[in-house]
Amino acid sequence: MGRAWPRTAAFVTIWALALAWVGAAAAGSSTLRVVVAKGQRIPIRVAPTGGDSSLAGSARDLLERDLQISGWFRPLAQAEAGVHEAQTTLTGDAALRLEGRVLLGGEQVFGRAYQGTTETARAMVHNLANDIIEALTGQPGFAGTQVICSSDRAGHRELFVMECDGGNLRQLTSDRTLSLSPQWSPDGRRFVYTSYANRFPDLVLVDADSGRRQRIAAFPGLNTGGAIAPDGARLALVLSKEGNPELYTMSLGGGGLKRLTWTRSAEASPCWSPDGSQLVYVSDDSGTPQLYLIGTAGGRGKRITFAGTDSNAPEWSAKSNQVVYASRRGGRYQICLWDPSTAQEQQLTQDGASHEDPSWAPDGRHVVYSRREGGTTQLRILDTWSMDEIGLTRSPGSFYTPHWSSR
Amino acid sequence: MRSSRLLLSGLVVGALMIGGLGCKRKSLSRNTDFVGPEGGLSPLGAPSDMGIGGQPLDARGTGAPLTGELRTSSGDRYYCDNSGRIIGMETARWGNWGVDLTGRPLGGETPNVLFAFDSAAIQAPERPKIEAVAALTEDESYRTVGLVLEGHCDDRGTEEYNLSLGERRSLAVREQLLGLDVASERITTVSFGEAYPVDPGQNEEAWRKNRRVVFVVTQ
Repeated sequence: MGRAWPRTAAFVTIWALALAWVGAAAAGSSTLRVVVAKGQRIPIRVAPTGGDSSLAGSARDLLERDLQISGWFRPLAQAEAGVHEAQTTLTGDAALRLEGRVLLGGEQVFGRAYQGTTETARAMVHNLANDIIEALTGQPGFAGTQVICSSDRAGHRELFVMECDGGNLRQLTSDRTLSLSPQWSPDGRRFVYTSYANRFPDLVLVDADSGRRQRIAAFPGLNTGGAIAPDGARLALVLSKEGNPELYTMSLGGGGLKRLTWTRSAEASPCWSPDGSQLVYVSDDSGTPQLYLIGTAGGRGKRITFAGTDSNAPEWSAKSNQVVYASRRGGRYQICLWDPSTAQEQQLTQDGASHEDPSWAPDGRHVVYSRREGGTTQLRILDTWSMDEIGLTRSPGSFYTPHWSSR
Repeated sequence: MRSSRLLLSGLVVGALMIGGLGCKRKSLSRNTDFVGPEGGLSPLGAPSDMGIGGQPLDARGTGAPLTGELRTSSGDRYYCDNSGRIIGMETARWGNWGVDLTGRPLGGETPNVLFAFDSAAIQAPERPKIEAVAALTEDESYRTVGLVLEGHCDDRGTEEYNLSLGERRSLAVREQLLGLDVASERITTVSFGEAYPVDPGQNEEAWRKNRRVVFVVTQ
């Protein structure tokens, strides 16, 4: 269990939620795990939630959605013989008790109970989902992790955050100007974004727990593309103060500004390699935007994408060691992967919508991206193994540049 | 400290109370139904003082905009909207562009400098617009005005790349102005990427108009 619960809760500051083990705790034992081939899913029936709580129906639906989004389960509409069945009971009013069990062939293979309040009800269900996922697959779940994005839902472009099932959407800024391209720090405790609150594009660092904001780069010209390094101490960014948009790094504590590129072209969208030794970024040095790699010592970037009209918005997963990006193929942006070990490009999506700004889930398997179709742009999750997709947002408003938190 | 007054954590707990599990019962097949209601609409704390590179606003050359009709000693006229953006120019030497303050077309297309797709190169037909604006700044009545160059893109491509491309366009116009002896301290660049199209259409004509640098005249 460990991974998901305390870190998720820390973000939403639900200190009060006490997590209780109940009997049948033997459930997590590895002998009960199901071996799942890549891209295959365990059929599971999520039964209606019992108990006297008014939230019972929502608890069932959320558990089912969490299990589906995890990529490990295929929810069934009806119970079937020989298939896993998840049973839940939610009791209480202000103080809630959630009991969860998974049965297979009449035998209990998982059981655990959780205590909380109405305010922590979503977190309780996410924790149950993550515990079921871990018990049955051996893989950590990511239910309840946060997706931050920019949206015009409130008129101006403001920052929003939601849980990765699309629920609990909250507006973070009310600056009534442009708030763009938010990116979490690797530990998910801070994020950086481009703010026009001072009329020009500046980089602002936000402490997620306290809400404290600090303007960290406000040079003349462009200050954008902020990406926090794996060590949490450095920032990659794009500045134009020397007459052209170029790639820089700096210390998040201020100072240590270092210029990495020297071009006559536009650089954009830096992203760190998992070991912090390289950056993948966008440059139109060749005439069209393409992905490049550069060491943090600087020098000359090495072009890595060649297929497609242009390639943009790279993000490198520490978990799967894959770079996901959006590449224009036949006039539409498609989600693609670049494999650092083979230097191969692979196109994932095919359909006629425009797929932009992909961001990895903590599992290194799913990505959230913005899908533009018919005048609206909405967020979707893509399972890069099965190509299954799930929608996260809907009108009013469009949603852009999602970034998935580690917690 | 003002910045600690509004805590994100408080925001989130409040939102959970409103937006928690309680309200809906939706079927999974409609997979966007889990969008929670909006709650906790308070702003984040106000940004604290700048870290590095901080420049007070004035140093970025953003005086109040000059609005209305600007007439030079040679009789050329420049028309600025309420934000100081040049919407029209009537010049003897560099031609007529855009519209006057009543919206009457002056005979040429937009005074904005237009660009090719994914390009920041100044095309020859755009050069007279830049020369006309340089002449305005040399006129004895306008020797102290500043120029803000707003760079814009069409909405193809990602937002972050378009921020850089828009800045490149602003900087390309700035270079031309410097070559025409406009002092660098009078020029400020700002890129808005693809955020503010003049024409929201999804066709070549709309995209062409949106790939632009807009001149803003400030005091």
